[in-house]
Amino acid sequence: MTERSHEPIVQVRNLRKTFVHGGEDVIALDDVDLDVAAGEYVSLMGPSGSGKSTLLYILAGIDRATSGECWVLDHNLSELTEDELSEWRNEHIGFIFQSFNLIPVLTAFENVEMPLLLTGLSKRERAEHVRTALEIVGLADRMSHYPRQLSGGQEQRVAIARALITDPNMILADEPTGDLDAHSAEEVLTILRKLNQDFGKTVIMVTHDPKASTFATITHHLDKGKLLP
Amino acid sequence: MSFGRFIWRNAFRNKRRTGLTMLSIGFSLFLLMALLTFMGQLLNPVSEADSALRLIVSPATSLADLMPIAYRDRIKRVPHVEHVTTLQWFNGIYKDPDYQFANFATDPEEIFEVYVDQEIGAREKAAFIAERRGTVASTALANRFNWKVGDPITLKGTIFPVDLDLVLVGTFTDPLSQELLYFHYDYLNEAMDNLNLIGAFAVRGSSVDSIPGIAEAIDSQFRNSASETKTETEKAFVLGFVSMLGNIQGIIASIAGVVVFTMLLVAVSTMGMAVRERAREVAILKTIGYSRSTILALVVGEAVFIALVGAALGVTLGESLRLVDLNIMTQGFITRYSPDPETYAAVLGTGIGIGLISGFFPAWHSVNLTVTSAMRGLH
Repeated sequence: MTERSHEPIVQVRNLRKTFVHGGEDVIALDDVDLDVAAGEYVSLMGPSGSGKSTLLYILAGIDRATSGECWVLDHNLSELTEDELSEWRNEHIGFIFQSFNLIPVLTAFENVEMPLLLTGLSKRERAEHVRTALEIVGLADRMSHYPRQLSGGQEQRVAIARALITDPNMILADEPTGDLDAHSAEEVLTILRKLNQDFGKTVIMVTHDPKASTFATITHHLDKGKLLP
Repeated sequence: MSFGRFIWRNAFRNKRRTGLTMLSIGFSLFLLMALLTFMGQLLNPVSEADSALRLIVSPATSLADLMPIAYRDRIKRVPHVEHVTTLQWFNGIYKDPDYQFANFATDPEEIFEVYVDQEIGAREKAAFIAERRGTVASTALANRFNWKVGDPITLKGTIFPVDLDLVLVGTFTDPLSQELLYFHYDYLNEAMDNLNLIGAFAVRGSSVDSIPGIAEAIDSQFRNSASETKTETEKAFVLGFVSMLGNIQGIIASIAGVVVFTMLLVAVSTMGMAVRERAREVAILKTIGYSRSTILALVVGEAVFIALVGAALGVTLGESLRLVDLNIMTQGFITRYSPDPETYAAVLGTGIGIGLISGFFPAWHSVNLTVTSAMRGLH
């Protein structure tokens, strides 16, 4: 595992991602450079197919770049194995999907607890953490509810609680308000801002909603795989 | 929550499918257990320590042949031989051909001296010796037909062209609860116009160490005669009898193999379906930090859990056979159901094996999908 110390916690250089689709090479990211400092709330905006979600997935270590460098939290992600990336994500990254992606057979409490099962915390400690996380997202009274018993906004708030349960350095959100009504979207964005401002979490959020990007401190635009100046 | 609880929740997310899979595995392993138990019984038919003292003398040419009854006295004179009895399989039919049970012409004075583990009361034994048409039945047989002392029993001959009119004079206990009927060899011989031939002798030696020597002495005594003999331990004799039925072991092993293989295919298909439906959730687990080996263990653990419940069901069903009178059901072919520890181990091992294999392959495919592929449903 290669480590080095940098002021920016995200440093992307000449990042390129291509894949084959329908027999043709498609360029998803083209020579992207990006720096994100600790504590920033970054919004990545762009039309569909601009490569913003691909960039987020590479930053989370769940997809790999074709070429270029991607340093996140002093780790060169291209040098980590799949299992090292999993462990690294568990410790440092909270990821929020557009479509919530809760596990349907588990309650809100259990969904949030899932990442903690990989840690050495006791059952009591895990329970305290889960209660705290659910209180932060305002769902302390929905702990025993299953995802099917929750609204879309509530499901996404449970997903946020799951993302922050391990106290990660960064929260990465892929269109977190894409499946929500305006009111629920507002609640989710407010929570993300709270995590950034009150808890010092670095947030990188992909969105195509201009209103959502107003919650961020910095907005970057992508188009056809390029990061616009 | 724990990983065990997570496995439990996943296993029962589709209760009907999981229940049917458990039942399928349960019935298959029940069949496997029954087959292994019956095969074990056929291949290890005599388990009593007392049987080690017994030898069976039969014609060297074939079990279907007969030898002179005069051999009896010569065998008695062989050193270390304590008792000898005639043992002629009569295969008589009582009332209905479906009422099958073992019936032997024998020597009333000697039979319970050779088979000391079969116990008979002194008065009943004396009555058996005294009454030429007398017969004694094992308690299992007497109970089956509700026979009482004094009841007439007519056996219609199948091997021998005579019908025997017998009278029940007593009962005896058999350690294996077999259905047996003994009657006088002399009565059969008389009915056969003093044929003076016999199918087998049962011999009791003085000690286990003397048995090989006795066998050799008997056979060498009749070597180069018109009716050579083959003397073997009781166990070897019964196994030879079983082998006449064909390659029972091969047939049972083939059936068991097909049952297990079919079950394995069903289990792999079911687990494959269950895991494929959850590819997206596998991607979520990877995203929140679960390694491939942990996810693999969770899926395989779920499959093993389902298979073990199925195995427990199979064993329970197998144990229920103890409540069934197999002696009657199989017309004496299978007398008891008593699986040995190896059979339990084989059934549980097969269950675990089915779980491991059925869980591993779909899980391996699933954990090797990239998160992005799984999220897009590209599986």
